[in-house]
Amino acid sequence: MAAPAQGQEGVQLNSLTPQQLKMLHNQLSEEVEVLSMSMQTLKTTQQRYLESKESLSELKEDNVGKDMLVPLNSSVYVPGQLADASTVVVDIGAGYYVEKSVKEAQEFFKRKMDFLKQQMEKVQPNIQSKFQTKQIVAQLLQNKMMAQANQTAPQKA
Amino acid sequence: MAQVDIKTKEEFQREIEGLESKQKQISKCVEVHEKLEGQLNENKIVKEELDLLDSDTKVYKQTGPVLVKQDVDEAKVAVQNRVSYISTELKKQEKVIQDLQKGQEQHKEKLKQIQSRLTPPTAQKA
Repeated sequence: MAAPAQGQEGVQLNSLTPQQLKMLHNQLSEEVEVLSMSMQTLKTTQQRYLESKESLSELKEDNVGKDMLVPLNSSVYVPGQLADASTVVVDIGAGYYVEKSVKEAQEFFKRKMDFLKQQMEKVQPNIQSKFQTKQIVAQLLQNKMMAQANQTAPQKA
Repeated sequence: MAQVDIKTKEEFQREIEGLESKQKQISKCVEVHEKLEGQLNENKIVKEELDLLDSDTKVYKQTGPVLVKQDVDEAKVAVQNRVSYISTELKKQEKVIQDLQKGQEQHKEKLKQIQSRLTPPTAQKA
């Protein structure tokens, strides 16, 4: 598994000392960690947009006039009635909110979700290649440490 | 020989401190840069969304807990200005970071020079 990759990076990696390999390994681990966290944030945000989009489907014309609970904050609700099911006000970012029809809002959320999907597709290969490089480095490190151990104790049976 | 060592040690110490301080400054500047980049991207996205709207669409700007009605075209101009402003700030930060990095390289060079002076010629690595 390490053989094909060694053709490119193996030449350079092999010339590093165990200490340098260890540092490289740590650095790669950190990078993978940071990228994975970013990936997670993208997924969570995408999920929120999906939930927003799906909640719109409840805004049906035949629900107008029905009783509902209106949140004043996350723990306080007041009873109210659905007055208008045709438009919604959507947070588009940077403190701006736009009134949209339900259809426009659904399109908006779909655009956002597609955008996030694109971004995730960009990040994923990056994570994978760093992870693979990290594993190669770990393998090389192990090999070198074993080689060193064998050198210092050549008389072991 | 001992006197040279002390002066060299002091110089070494100064360079190390200079290097560390530059590194800290660079970290801070990189943080600011990243934050600015995030804001720039957010505002660019908002501008794109606003551009898709008709001039009679209702737009609101949030100030604290209040949404204030705004004209679509005014909002577009406001966001565009923000994008321009953030872009300029971003470029400034990049220049600051570049200068700091140059300074960092200078410290590293000096340190290398000092180290090679400290190492006796006979014991220098082949």
